[in-house]
Amino acid sequence: MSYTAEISRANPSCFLFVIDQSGSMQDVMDPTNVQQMDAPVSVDGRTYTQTASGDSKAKGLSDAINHWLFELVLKCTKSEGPRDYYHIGVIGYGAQVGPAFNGSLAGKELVPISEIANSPARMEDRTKKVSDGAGGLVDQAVRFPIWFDPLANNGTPMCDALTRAHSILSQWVPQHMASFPPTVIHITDGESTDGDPTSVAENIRKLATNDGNVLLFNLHFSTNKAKPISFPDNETGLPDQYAQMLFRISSTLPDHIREGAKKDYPVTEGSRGFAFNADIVELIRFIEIGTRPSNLR
Amino acid sequence: MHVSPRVRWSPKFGNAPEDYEDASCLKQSNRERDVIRLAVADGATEASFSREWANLLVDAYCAGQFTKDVVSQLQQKWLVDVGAKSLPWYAEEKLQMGAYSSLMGLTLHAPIEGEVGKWEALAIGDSCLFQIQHDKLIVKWPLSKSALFNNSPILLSTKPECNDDQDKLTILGEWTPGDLFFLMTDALAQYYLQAVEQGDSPASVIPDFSLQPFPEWIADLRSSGQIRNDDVTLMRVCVA
Repeated sequence: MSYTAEISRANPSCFLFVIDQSGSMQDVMDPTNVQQMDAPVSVDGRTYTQTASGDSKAKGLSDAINHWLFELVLKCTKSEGPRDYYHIGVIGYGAQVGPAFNGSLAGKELVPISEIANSPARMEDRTKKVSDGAGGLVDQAVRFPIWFDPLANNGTPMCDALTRAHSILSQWVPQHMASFPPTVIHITDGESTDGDPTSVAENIRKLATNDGNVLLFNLHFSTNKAKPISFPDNETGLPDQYAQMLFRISSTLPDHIREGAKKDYPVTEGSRGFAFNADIVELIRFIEIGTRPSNLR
Repeated sequence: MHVSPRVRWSPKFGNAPEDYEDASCLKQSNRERDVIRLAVADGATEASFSREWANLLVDAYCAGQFTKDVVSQLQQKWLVDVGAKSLPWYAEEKLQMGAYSSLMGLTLHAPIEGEVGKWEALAIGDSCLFQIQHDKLIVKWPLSKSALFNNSPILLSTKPECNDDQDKLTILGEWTPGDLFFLMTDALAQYYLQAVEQGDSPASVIPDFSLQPFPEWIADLRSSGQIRNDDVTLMRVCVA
C-alpha cells in the first residue's frame, strides 16, 4: 500500500471530481462594484441584499476544472495522440446529482482521457502570452476547450453525491487492482443538506487497489472570510464546523504528494488533502500536485 | 580502420516498439574513408514528436553536419514535417511546446601513419560515452558517476529560444586497436556506471548477447529493479 504503482495504459488511474452546484455557488468570489439593492431578493431559500460584479464561485470552479483537464490532456498526449493513462469523471450536485460534462460526454460517469481530448463541448478563442524568440512576449490566439459549464441552483445533497461517487468507484476499483488508486476531488462551499457525509466518505476511502486506498481530497469554498488554509494537520484553527467536518473526512497526504507540496506548504506527516478558501490559482495547483505522481510512464 | 558495431534497443516496459523514442545512427563517410561517425539520441518522454527530432539529430551528426546553422535548419524541418497536416487542438498545443532530445555523437578517425587513432565526441544531455582499454574504463563522459543522473537533464529543443550553445559539450581522445566504445542512453548508462562503481569489470557489465537476447537481459534488469523503466539504446563498437 505505497502509492507507487506506475501509471500506464495497461494500468491507468482515475480522477473523479464531485462538484457542489448548489444555489450558493452563484456567490461572487471577489466582489467589486458592490451596491445595495432597493429590496431583498430570495433565490433558492437565500436572501440577497446586494449586487456585485465578478466571477461567481461556480464560474471559477468550472474554469479551474476546464484548465486542469486541458493540462492533463496535454500531459498524456504523445505523437500518436492522447494515451489513456487516466479515466476522468465529474459528478455535480445541486438540483440533481449526476455526471456534469456538457456536450457529447453528457451523462457519462468515467471517460478515458483520449475521449475527453476528442470531445470538448466547444472550443473558445482565447489569447495567451508566448515568447517572441527575442526576449519579449506576444499575444497568440489559441483555441481553448470547454467540457464543463458553471451551474448553480437548489440545495447541497452532499451525501447523495458522495454515495454516487462510491458506487462508480466500487465498479472501477476491482477492474484495476494493479493501478494507482483513484483520486476523488470534492469541491463544496458549505453545509450538506442531506445529512452527515462522514460515513459515506469513509466508505470511499476504504476502497483500495493493491497500491493503496482511494484518496479523498476536499476543497472548501466559504463565504467566511477567514484566511486560506492548505494541507492542515489538525482541525484547530479551521474557521467553522463545516471546514472541520471536511478536514476529518479527507485522506492523509501520501508521501509523494507531501514531497511535492513541501516546497510551497508547511506540510507534516499528518497533513490532510484539505484546503479552505484556496484561491483559484492555488486550487489548480492543489489539484495538480494532488494528481501528479512522479512516476507517470 | 575497422569497426565492429552492434546496436541494441528496447522500448520501456509497457510500451509498444512504435512508442520507442530513442534513435541511433552509424555512418562511414563516403568522402572521408577514414572517418566513422556514430550517434545515439534520447527523445524526451513528456513531449510529442520527440522520436522524429531524435532521428533528425543523429542523422545530421552522422552526416558530419552538426553546426549551429544546421541545427536551425533541423528545427525548421521538424516543424514542417510534424505540422504539415491538420492537427487536433491538443496536438497543436503540444507542437507549440516543442520536442526535446539528448545527443551523443562519436567520430572515429583512422590513424595517420605513425600516429594513434583519434576521436572526438559531442554531448548534449545525459546520453553517455564510455571507452574501455585493456579492461579499464578510461573515458566516462559527460556523466562520470551514477549519482549524477536526474529526471531533468538539459536537452536540445526544437525551440531555438530554449537552447544555449554552452549546453553542447565536446571532448577529444585517442584510441588503440582493440578499444571498446559504448554509447548509451541514460537509463543504461546509469546502470553501467553503478555496476562499475560496485566493482564489476567494465568490459563484462554488458554481456555478449549471443546467449541471452538484449530485450530479455533488459527485462531481467527491470524486474529486479536494477535499471529505470525507460527506452534503452546501446551502441557497442570495437575498433581495430
